[in-house]
Amino acid sequence: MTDMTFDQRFQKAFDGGLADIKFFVRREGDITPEALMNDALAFQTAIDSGNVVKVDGVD
Amino acid sequence: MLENVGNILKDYHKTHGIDLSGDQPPVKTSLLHPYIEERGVVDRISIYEANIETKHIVAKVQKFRGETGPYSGILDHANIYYAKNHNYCWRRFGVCKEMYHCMIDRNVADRVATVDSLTKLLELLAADTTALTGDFSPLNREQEAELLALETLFPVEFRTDYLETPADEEAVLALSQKFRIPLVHARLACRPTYNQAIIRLRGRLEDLG
Repeated sequence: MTDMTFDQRFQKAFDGGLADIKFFVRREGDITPEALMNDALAFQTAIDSGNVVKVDGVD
Repeated sequence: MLENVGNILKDYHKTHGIDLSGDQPPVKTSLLHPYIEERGVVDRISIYEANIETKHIVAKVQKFRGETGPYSGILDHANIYYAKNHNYCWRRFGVCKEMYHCMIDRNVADRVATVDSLTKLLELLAADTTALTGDFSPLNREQEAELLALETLFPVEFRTDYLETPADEEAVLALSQKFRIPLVHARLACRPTYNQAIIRLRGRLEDLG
């Protein structure tokens, strides 16, 4: 599972019922599509591997 | 959509109060999501901290369709994730912004539901298009959600001193710390042209004192 590409990982998510996805980008310095894809993939890998913790919010 | 911010703030203030006197953020993200759920297209919003470090993406929301409960039929739910390495103000802002997608992404065209549209969205986000493009709805929703988050966490009701004259940098810094939002957003919110436009769009301000 850790070797899945960006396309493979997100295709699996969409096939699994993901109906929409959006992002909040911190605009500091130059941003490339590849850097955003790396970040998006890091999130998805964390979710798929259970590396997330439920919280009430950020306060 | 900005009129909804006024109603959300009014309801929030009635129940929880918007307190500027203490160390707590005046508007708490942990108390906000019921007001968005009741006005939105998602029945349930959950928030998660991802144990990762990212460079640019602070937070994201994923929406799902098709969870079936014994009495409730088809439900929509949304999971919001933030990366733990970003500071408190960025994480708060990101969570609030992603919550608003659960209210404003109302049409099929607003959704990113294929790898191709996901790739296109990331390319446009990297390009930092500041104007509403009109031809790719998900990007427009991204920009609207950011504006709604700013107007929720730092309501224009508390910026009326800056309708004609901009805040100086010292005041902007103090306000970003008081309202617990990123400095760059506080700076934008204290510009007279921005405030004037927001007040025109809001139409009516609430008594949040």
